[in-house]
Amino acid sequence: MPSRKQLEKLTAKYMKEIRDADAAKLSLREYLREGLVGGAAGLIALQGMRNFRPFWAHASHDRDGLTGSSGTANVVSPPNTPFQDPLPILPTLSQKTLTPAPTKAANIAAGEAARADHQKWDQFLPQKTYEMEEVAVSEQFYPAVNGVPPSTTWRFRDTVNGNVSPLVRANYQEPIVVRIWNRLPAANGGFGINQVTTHLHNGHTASESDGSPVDFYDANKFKDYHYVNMRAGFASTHAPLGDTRETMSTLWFHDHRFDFTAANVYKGLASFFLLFSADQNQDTGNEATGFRLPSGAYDIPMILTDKVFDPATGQLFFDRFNLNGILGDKYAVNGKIQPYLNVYKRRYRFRILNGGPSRFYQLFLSNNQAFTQISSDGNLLPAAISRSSGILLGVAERVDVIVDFTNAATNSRIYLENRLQQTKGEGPDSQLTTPTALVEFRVLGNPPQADQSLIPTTLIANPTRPASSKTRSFDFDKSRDGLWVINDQIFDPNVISFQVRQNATETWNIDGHSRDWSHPVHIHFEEFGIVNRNGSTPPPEERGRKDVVSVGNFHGDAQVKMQFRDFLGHYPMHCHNTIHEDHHMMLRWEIIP
Amino acid sequence: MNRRAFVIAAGAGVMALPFIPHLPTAPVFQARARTPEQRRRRAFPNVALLTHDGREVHFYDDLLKDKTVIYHFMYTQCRDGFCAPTVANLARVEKALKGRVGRDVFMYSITLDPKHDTPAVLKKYRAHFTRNPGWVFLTSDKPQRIERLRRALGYWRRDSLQDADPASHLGHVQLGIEPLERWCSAPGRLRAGAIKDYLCWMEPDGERPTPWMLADRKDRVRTS
Repeated sequence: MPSRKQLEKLTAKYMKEIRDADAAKLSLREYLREGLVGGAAGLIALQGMRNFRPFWAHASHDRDGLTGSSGTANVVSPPNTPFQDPLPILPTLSQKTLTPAPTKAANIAAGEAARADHQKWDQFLPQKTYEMEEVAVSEQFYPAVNGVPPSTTWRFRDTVNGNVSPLVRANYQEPIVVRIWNRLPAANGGFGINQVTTHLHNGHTASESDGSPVDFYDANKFKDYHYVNMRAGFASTHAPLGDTRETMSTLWFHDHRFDFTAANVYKGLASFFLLFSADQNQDTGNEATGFRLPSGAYDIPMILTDKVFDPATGQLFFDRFNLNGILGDKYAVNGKIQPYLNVYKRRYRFRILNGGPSRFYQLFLSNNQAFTQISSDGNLLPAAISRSSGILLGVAERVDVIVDFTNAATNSRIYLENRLQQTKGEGPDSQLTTPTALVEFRVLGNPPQADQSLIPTTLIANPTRPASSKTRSFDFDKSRDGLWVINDQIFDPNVISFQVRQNATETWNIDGHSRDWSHPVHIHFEEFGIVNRNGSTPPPEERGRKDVVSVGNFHGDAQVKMQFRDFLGHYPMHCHNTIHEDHHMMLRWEIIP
Repeated sequence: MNRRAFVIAAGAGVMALPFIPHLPTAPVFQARARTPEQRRRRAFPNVALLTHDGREVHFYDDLLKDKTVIYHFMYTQCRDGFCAPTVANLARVEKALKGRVGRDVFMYSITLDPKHDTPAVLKKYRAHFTRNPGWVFLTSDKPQRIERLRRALGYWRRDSLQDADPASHLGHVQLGIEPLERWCSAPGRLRAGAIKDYLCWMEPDGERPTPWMLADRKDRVRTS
């Protein structure tokens, strides 16, 4: 028998050899045959060998279930009656004078969480300030007729008027501070943690305001998030205003506490951040100016989420033990299951976000009318695209579409549908299925005022990126021990995996490795261009600016190119199937001078 | 099916079915109330297990309830290269927790091979890694109990061949603060210090990560 010290030595040696063997892509059989594992003999000697026949060798495996087959009983939510409640329209966050006023350095004495000083604070002092608090609320997903009690969820709340799940409306060249208080209770109702870090998804944001996964803070603390609302390049390639081709429109914010992102976002910690570009007469928020996109009451953000409710208690249910991905059997849009929306005979802009945690959608209109797609991941395209064969939307992807109801019959009903089949949490199947209606559009009649919006032929040209100075490759895979890994690395919250030079341009190859799953890969900081999809030019809908790219499954692999301008600090890249993300498919990198 | 074929199928394969809304025929839901204590208990099978000392314990009542815990699955004859390193790694976690194991943190290594891994076998194996009474190795004389536990705790694979292959068993450890219903997982092969962090950062008054600062960047960066 080896001593404990010997055993530790053997183990260390053993682990190194396993890593080497994995790096060399040797199979288990090969590396046992190669006799690489010097320590194995010692370890096996612990008990000696004998015929090994595990008792579970013939165990039946689980059926696929609505919760993604966790091994627990398949949970089926209480039935709902569709189209009873109107689609909730998310309220706009109110301006508020902050007391104490926000400061460049964290105001620890006043309860601010520790953070690095705001970068570029003096150049971009906040012109407007806002305040939200994260709180537990009672929320009714089901229509009253079904008798299902409300669930306790965690939501952002406007501290001025108590509005729940407000969205931020911001303007380019108008720096703001959003103060976010953590007022969440320790009691979590079964899942989630009251430690938060709010990520502005697609924001060109300094690291300390990015909501990075390790920068979480506790209850009864706040953090001031400084959003300069400047286009990429403002302090580098295109000073002082930034590259007008980097204008973004539809962003969203959500909790990002590592290992708990899936649970905390599923509990409700997500909303929209709309960025308007009246300064360049682009996406102005006014349909009489700029691109003349449908605006005001006709510009409607929708967050798609799929949920499971406990069949006994009716409470929102989350499977904590699931590693594959969680699928819900109830489709909530802006917090209501299968709501309806009254529409006039005119054009609408719908900003559709796949809020996860794991489901992909292929969106259609029930009358097979084409969508006019104007953005990819909330970034306006060079030109609008007509999409008649559905829009595939992976987790965290956004798409802005214009739907024209002008020729719809009065009192007709048109449905926003998902037709993508998905039977397992890892990713969708490569086929369509019976439609599920997500929202019912009820066509009222002519609008009170004439529709002034247009479908512009040209929107925002793609930026030209310099030649890249470095190429990196990332393999999104499953390790032999069943964990979601990037280049066989598991997320270590203390590790920065690599560094990039500020203002550099790089090319990253992203490979999903297998047909057995989809990984909607998200890279923080600057949106990228997909330069290559499976060895050829990407399809038209992927030729714009993106911040999520799906790999694996029928998606294949992708090569993306991006820049790292203006700020410094640490940022993650991760799978945005938040179950995969929380089970360690994430890494951090850093921008250095 | 490649992407292009999929997109074509998406366009051609689906007929525009007329949509028939559901009629509100579902009976009104009768909610059953459940206390937090009931919810906590229902989350885990309370199966009877045997410790390495041959003592009978119940998984929820005796091992989890009101405790901060680390548990995982392993077996002594593992040849795949993950079990013994993970157990050895947990021995480092035990050290990193500086005397807390046995006091307010408890560790459980549950065998996947109860037929071979009797209490006596586990006791012998365990002695190589720890003498701490707060780290308990668990088995059962009824293999179906372990199987029930394994599946309920999510230690299974969708692929039935992989699921049946002991070389493919899942390598994560679960970390939890049971009374607060806070559970997360960490890879068993992660650095022991990081596993400790995963646990301590979850605690309401526990340690916290040091925020990233421009000034001390050089000291903090550790590339993997």
